[in-house]
Amino acid sequence: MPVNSLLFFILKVFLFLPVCYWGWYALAELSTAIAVYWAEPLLQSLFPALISSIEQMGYRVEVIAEVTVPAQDVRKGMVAELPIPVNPLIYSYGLPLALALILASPFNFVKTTRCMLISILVFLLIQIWGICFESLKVLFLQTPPELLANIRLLPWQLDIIALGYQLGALILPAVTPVIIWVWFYRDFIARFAPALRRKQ
Amino acid sequence: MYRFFFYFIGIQLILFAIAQSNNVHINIIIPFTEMIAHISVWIVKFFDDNVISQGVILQQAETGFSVSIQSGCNGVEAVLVLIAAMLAFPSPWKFKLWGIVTGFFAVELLNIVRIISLFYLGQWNQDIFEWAHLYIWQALIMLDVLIIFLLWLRLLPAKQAGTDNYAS
Repeated sequence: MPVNSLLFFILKVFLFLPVCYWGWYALAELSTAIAVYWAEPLLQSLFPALISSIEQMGYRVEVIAEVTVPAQDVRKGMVAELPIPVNPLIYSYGLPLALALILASPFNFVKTTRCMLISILVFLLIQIWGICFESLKVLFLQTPPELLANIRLLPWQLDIIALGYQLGALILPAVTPVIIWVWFYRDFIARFAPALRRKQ
Repeated sequence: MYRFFFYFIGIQLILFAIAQSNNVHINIIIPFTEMIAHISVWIVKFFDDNVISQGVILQQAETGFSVSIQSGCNGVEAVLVLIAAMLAFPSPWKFKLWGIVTGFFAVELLNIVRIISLFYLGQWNQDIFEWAHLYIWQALIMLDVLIIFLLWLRLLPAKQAGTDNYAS
């Protein structure tokens, strides 16, 4: 495929990108609701004494944790809650790019639809990952330990939380659209690369 | 292709873990981020004298508005993705090296454009700054990585492809 075709493809990506961003943002509340539906029981099963609930406000969420505070600071019959704000969209900003890459590639109804659905599903999983690891990062790495008196994590578990959070925030949303597109459109990519054509 | 993905994900995870380690972060990533901030200020000073940099912070001296360049904003992750892809793809070492060096400068050049644009967007409109910072520029940087990789793939010589001379 000549450079002109590559340029044409990139132009198509840039044309589809604003539309995909619009759709992604318009459906942000729905995707957050689905992510919360799965993230809440997951977090509660991991830390039943700590995670109370996840509350959704628009496309943003607050993970509510029950923390331990000195008895004199809490009225009788009340529990101390620590709300952890999380923006799930920062874990799915790659979805519009994935959709734009798919839509800019040769259209085939079944393949295009399947790839788009897989992208949406994968980014829902990344959002769940992000909600879980970001809230655990805030709880176990940024909250004073005396508030979490009932739970002690081992150093390697804290390392897993830190790495999981960094991976979810820095790598997964960015690299996933590229992986999905390269995986499903490798025949199309081969048109750009003589070396790849030869190998196939 | 399966082997490419296996190597790509493996190399990516290894590079990411190395970049996140304390020693590398303190001795390489932070000085590099400070250098990016200084270069951004140096470029901005061509048309705006009121900008200063303090470490990883870019500041408008008149208004006090500042942006801090953090992990995820220094282009390192995007460069790591590019390095992993080029190392994973079977190709001669000289093409890998040439692609990595060229790709590094191409990614960081766009990243400096991102930093400068965000610096001025933030002074103009906070909502647009948030959108551009959190959602749009991240995707554009990764699109830049993909385009560089596709151009690099296109320039790989076909007749040597698949031979044993290719390292992966």
